[in-house]
Amino acid sequence: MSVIPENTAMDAPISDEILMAYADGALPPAEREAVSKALAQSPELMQRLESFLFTRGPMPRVFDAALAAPIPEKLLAILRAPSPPASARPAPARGSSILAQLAATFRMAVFSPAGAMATLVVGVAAGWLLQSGTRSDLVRLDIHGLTATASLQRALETAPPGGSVAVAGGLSLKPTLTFRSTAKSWCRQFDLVDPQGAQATGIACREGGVWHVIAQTGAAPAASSDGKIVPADRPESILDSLRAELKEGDALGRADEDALVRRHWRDGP
Amino acid sequence: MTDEFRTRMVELLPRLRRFAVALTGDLDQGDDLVQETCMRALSRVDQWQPGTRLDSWMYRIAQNLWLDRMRAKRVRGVQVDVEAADLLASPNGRSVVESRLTLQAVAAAMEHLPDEQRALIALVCIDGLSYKEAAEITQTPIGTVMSRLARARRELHARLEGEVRGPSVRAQQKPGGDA
Repeated sequence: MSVIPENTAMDAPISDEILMAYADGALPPAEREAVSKALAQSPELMQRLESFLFTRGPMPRVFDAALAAPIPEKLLAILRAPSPPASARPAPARGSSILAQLAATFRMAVFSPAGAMATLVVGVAAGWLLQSGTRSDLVRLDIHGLTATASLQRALETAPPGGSVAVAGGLSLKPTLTFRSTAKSWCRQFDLVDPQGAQATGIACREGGVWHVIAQTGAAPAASSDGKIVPADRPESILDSLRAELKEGDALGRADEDALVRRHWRDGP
Repeated sequence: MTDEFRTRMVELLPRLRRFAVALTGDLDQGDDLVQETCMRALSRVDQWQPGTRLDSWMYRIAQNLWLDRMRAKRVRGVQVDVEAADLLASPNGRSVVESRLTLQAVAAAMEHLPDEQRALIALVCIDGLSYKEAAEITQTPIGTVMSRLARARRELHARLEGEVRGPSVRAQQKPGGDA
């Protein structure tokens, strides 16, 4: 396939796209020849070519260190792990709860019948959200996990894309990303900002009309006195991983998100 | 099938890491992205069609994960780290191209590009894929790929070298709409 439009005559001014293809060695021989001739006659053209040679030659080499760097064990471990047959995987059926799915994905304990739990994500969540009286107004720890209480429910339910809604204790919530989970729930990633500017970020999913906070990390240090809470040294990356596991398809664009909020989270019109 | 899949993923890791570093701008964040990409890929082995290119499939996963991250970050209003851009300042007038063409400098210059252009730079200039392959991975028409890529490369060159030559280089850039 030629990268040059058919009606491009070579005596016409040579476009940047053609010069780029020349620098990349992507032109068919005849066109390549014609560009070479034009370059020999035009210092201006030669100067334009320089951008494309530079960005293909010297510039990309700075990234080659990554090719040679030893591969971290954590990456190899992921790929080396024995792969159970799909049928034997503990993955829950579609439509099962987000928490069950999370537990399966991360092979973590989730709520025992007694309601005790020891999960990383909820641990991180509890650390920030339950550490002060004010914040514990936002979530209630129950058998379903951390259920957002009224003010957080309302904020998650109604905050428009890019908007900000006040919740309890002077905190305000700002949704940053809205997406469909693999369990077909709607989920929102959000930031919570307190009056001092401390910021936490979390993910909540809507099941049965109720928002459950499934992960929450914060700028505020997590309460770790019980030793159960795993310090989130890179809280963002924990959330990124979670979202990557949960999300199905692309995140909603602004218009779709806005429409969804207006429809009170009911599926398409 | 799965064991072969894992083996091929391991073989792909060095290139995938370089691609991720090019997108994120540093090795640690790049490795986080690679990790996520591998986990996502493993959980969706059944969606990969044997006989198609594994690298393109993985790059597409990585690119989409990264675009989501960038979007979340941008909505949040996190400021781009402009200090990194100051690395480009060249007080003694020596050529940035000669003396400061470092990963940090290139990454800082790339941060000024729109996400889509950054992804194209990573795919074509850094990984060496063809325009057609990049078009398939980004699901963008090839003409758009070429015009975006040409613009991104002029911009990067101007940023990385323009500090030495002065603003005239940038002034030469044609304004113009995307294809």
